[in-house]
Amino acid sequence: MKKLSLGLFLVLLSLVVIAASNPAVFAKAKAPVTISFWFPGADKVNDSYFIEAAKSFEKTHPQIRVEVTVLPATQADVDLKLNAALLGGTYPDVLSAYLANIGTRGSQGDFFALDKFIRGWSDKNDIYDSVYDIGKYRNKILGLGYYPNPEVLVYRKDFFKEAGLDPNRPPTNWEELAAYAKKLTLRDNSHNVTRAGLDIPAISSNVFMKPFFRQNGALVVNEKKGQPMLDDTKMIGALDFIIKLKNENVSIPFNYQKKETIPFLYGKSAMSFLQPTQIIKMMDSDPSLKDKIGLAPVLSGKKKSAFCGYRLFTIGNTSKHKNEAWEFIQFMMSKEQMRYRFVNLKIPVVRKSMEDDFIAAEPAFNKVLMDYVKYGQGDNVVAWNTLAVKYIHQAYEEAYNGIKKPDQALKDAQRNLLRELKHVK
Amino acid sequence: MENRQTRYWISMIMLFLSLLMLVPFFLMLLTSFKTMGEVQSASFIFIPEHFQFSNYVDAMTRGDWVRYFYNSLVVTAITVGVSLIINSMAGYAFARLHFPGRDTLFIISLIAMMVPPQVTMIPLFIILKNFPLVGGNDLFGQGGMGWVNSYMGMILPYIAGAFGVFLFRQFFMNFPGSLDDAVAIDGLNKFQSFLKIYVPLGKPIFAVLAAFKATQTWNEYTWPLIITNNDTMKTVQLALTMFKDESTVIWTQLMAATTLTSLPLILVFLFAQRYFVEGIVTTGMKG
Repeated sequence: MKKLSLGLFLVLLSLVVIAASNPAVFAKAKAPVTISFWFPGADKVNDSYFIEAAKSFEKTHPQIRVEVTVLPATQADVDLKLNAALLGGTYPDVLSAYLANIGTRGSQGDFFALDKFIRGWSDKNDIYDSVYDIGKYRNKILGLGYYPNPEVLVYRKDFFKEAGLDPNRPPTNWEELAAYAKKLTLRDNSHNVTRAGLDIPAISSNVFMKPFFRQNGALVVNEKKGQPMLDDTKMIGALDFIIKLKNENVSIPFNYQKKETIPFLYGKSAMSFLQPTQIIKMMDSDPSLKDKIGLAPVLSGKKKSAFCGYRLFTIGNTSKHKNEAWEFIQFMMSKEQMRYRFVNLKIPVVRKSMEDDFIAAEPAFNKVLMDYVKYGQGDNVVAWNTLAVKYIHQAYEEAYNGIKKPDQALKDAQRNLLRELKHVK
Repeated sequence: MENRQTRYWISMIMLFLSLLMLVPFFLMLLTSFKTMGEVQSASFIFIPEHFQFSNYVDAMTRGDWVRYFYNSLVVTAITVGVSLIINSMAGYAFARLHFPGRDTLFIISLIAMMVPPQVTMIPLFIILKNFPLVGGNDLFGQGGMGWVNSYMGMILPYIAGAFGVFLFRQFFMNFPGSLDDAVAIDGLNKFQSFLKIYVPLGKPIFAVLAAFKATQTWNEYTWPLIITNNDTMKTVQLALTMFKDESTVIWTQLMAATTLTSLPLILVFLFAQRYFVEGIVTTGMKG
């Protein structure tokens, strides 16, 4: 009996050893892992793409299921949902985050550092360095940029012709921008602007002003030291330039955050800063505009700089399936997916090997777009960026409305921001 | 004569104010027929030049609106139904039954009315996520999603509510004590008395709370946003965000969809209107 028991035990043991040495046995037994993927909705085409991409991923990775959630586009709503998810333990495995989230949420430990994964990624050298840089917080890569969204200087060629300007020579620097804006402005008998030379916003100007600040050599925020630099003379110089131009009565007031109110979209302006999707939508709704709209190169002051927002893939720090989440990100960053995005959604590529293809697809449009991506910088990556933006808006509006001179407005903004930061820290 | 003239002018002012209240509704309706060009025009266009019925088609073909309406209907119907049962019974108990600690309990429930929902939202989410033995959770509420992303998660927080209890209590308190004596002589117990006497007499207040609850649940945005995770669980209010992206709002389609989503509530109010006024008057809530 003892011998029989020992024999049975040995047979069972050997079966276990055989099974353990054969991963296929375990792989078969393993139930598929479900990862959650949350992204902010945009439009029908964009949303459908992400949902379909997740389905394609499931086909090529049958051991992983992807549960997709389309978030509202409003940042406040996204933050509310993420906060609840964080506290309730339902934070997504993969989140398509806005660039600002790297500072605001990344600094709070929401995201898992991707450095280890990226080091072992065979495609890592094909991705632009700027993609890694924008997703960094304190030298750790918390997000992988996949969706550059630059603010491009667009102009109306037909209005240029009307004003006696060469439609193929858009402004390239501040002096030309100011001179062209004045020439292009149309006013009625009461001196009210009927068609603006340049769209200069009345409120919510952060994204509009950032490139001008940086073109003038300002940092806005010293990210390494974690210090605001709103009262820097280079900042003051840039704000002074814009306010002087506005005082020449070359624009129609609007809110920069409400993109649908931009005068250029309704033929009420000759030059403006727009996102590529807006330009495409504009041309789609009125095909005759295709030959009338031109893209100007990145403006240069003391240096070239443009504003480029980004969406990034991040992995939730609390995710239990980080490897699977990284598998999904790799899939979304693949050449096939990136090609699909640039052909159908007009999203610029972030792979070096695809740059030529992207430009060849629509040379006049995409070459300029790539320059904006290359010279593009987004919002500052600091935990208190929203506070800095609040004071930039305040200073701008005070200067715009003549309440304070630009230097005073920015000096006050710096002082107030520092005071508030003391409490935050 | 003077009295008639005063009444005439009061009526005129009331009519004017009523029409003023309808202005946002008409603006919504008219915007739903405009072109985006007309919406964004520098000069305000009140009546669209050509009525764009296609806005409704475009809006309804974006997303699965049958599903969104179904979800909202299920959540609203169950919430209204269950909350009427719970609130009426609690209101009856506070008004007509005598038990130790009754008034203290009622005051505690009133205090709940003073806590803003934003304060309780996240703790509530955590409770529902960790509810034991549901949604893959074990006995200790671990391992699964609990009632996150489920109808139960959307319904449960709204089926009670101190406001409803207060409303019923005030209503049931208006009845004379002799009514209870008469019911007792007839041999009915307390539950039978509630069911056979108070419920039929309480029709107006049932209609009032049904209308309030229906409006509140149908229009709720923040809670479904937090508790649901996928398209199949979306309610109509969440679906409306589809017309707004990071930078732009498609006002024409948004207004078309909003018009359609407000229709069920308009119907509820039309049906409950008679009881609504009666209920407000009898509970003493005259503004």
